[in-house]
Amino acid sequence: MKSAEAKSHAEKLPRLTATVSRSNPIDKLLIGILSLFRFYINLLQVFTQFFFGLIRLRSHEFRYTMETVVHQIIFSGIDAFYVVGAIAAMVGGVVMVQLIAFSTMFESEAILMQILVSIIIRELAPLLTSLILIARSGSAIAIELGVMQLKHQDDTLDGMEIDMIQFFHVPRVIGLTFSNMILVGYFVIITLGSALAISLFREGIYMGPMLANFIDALKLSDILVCIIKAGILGMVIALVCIYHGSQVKNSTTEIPQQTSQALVNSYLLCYKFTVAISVVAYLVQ
Amino acid sequence: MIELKSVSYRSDSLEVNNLSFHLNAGETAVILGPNKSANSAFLKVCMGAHPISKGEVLFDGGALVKYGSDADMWRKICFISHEPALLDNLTVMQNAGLPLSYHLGWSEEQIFEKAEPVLKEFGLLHVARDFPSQIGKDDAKITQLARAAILEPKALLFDEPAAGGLNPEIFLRILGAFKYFQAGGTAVLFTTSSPSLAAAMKIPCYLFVEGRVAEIMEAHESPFPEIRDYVARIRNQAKQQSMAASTFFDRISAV
Repeated sequence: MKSAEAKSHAEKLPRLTATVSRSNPIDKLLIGILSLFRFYINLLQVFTQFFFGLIRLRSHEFRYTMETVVHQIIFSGIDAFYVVGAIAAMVGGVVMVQLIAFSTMFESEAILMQILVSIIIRELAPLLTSLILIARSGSAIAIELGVMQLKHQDDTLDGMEIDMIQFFHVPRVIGLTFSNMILVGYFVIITLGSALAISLFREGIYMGPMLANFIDALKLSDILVCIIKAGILGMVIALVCIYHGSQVKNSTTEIPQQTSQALVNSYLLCYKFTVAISVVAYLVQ
Repeated sequence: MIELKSVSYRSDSLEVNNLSFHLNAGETAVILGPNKSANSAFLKVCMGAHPISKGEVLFDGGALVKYGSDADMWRKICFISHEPALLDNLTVMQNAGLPLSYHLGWSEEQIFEKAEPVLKEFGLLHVARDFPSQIGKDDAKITQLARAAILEPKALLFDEPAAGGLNPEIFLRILGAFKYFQAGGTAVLFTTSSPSLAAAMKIPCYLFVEGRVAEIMEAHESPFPEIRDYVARIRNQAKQQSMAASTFFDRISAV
């Protein structure tokens, strides 16, 4: 019933392309430009639905939702430990090998450590964990929602006055947001551990001074930017995959189509948000 | 119990104007109409889940308010969709108890205690721990009825029980379920496009054709030509079926 209300609201939304003619080249261009924005408008709508779904949760519904959030975090954040760990160890090793190779260009090990912290904590960790999250959980969300749409399970929930947004969207968005933060935590620890371990193979480098340099290089702003990025990217992945999953209407062939679109758009948006957040962070500093 | 007073609404395929309908408490009735006559939308209007442009829908004498103002409406009216759509990641027991766990925070043990006798009554206890992919469509359909029975609603609205085919066994199980609801004082309203199902139920039958509604006994005198045409059509169909059946049985006797 709640989704019936949501549908009626959606029908009232202005249709951007309704008043322009498709034969006119200027109109065609306009339609093209508007359709570029339409994806973002739709995404904003999914976010708004999520937000209002979250604040409308009543106490028992909130408890049920939180149970689902925990399941989502276990699948997306905890079960991905081995994949993330393996990738993090390799990334840490590769980055450190490269830094050592060019270390003669740096005046001191402190600068080397500053670069390592900036590259790994600020940039690589949130982005790479997001890519893993897209592949593991984003695809699962898009497919699950597509199948639910196809089997009219949203109608079934509607019949029980269970709001699809509160039942499905809210736990997925919260779950992926926190999962990405957890994944980033693993990733940073394992990557830095692996980088420090590799650096020990270089002559004249000792663990004590390296750790001291690392602690000196690490700033609160680095950690904050990393956490904010991880949270935002996790949320963006969930919203994009929910949007594409809910676009499945009539046929099973729409599920793989929407899933692949969900993955591609998630990748693109993750890169865009990473750049945007980095730029804002450096400007603020 | 449920009363539609001069209601106007729009569904995907139909515009309905000034529709009035009444279902008494504890009554079981069927709405018979041709395929794609927007029966689902009609049932959703009855439960206040479909927007109306005019008129009012009353439940238990009071105006049926929008979702949110009556937090317990999900217990009072149960709607069963024509698709046996259970949630794939929940077992039959969890599916049946979903409204209780979601809205009231019941534990699995509490749900089992409440649901066990109902599942037994509906012949589902042996599949209670199975997932929807492990059970048949018939059991899935009955699970939806069991879910409604667990909630002990005042009204049950069932959209097309015959969807996806109705073999004699499932027909008897649905009939048994309706009797269970009747015994509990629940009003049952279901829609179908199958005249034989409506006839076999031996309950009050209303025709719903192109947004017009009429009681079947008065349908031939209906002021609406759509209703009279539909009656003539189903009467003709019934005659043809009856002739075909008698020819078939004559052949068997000859053998």
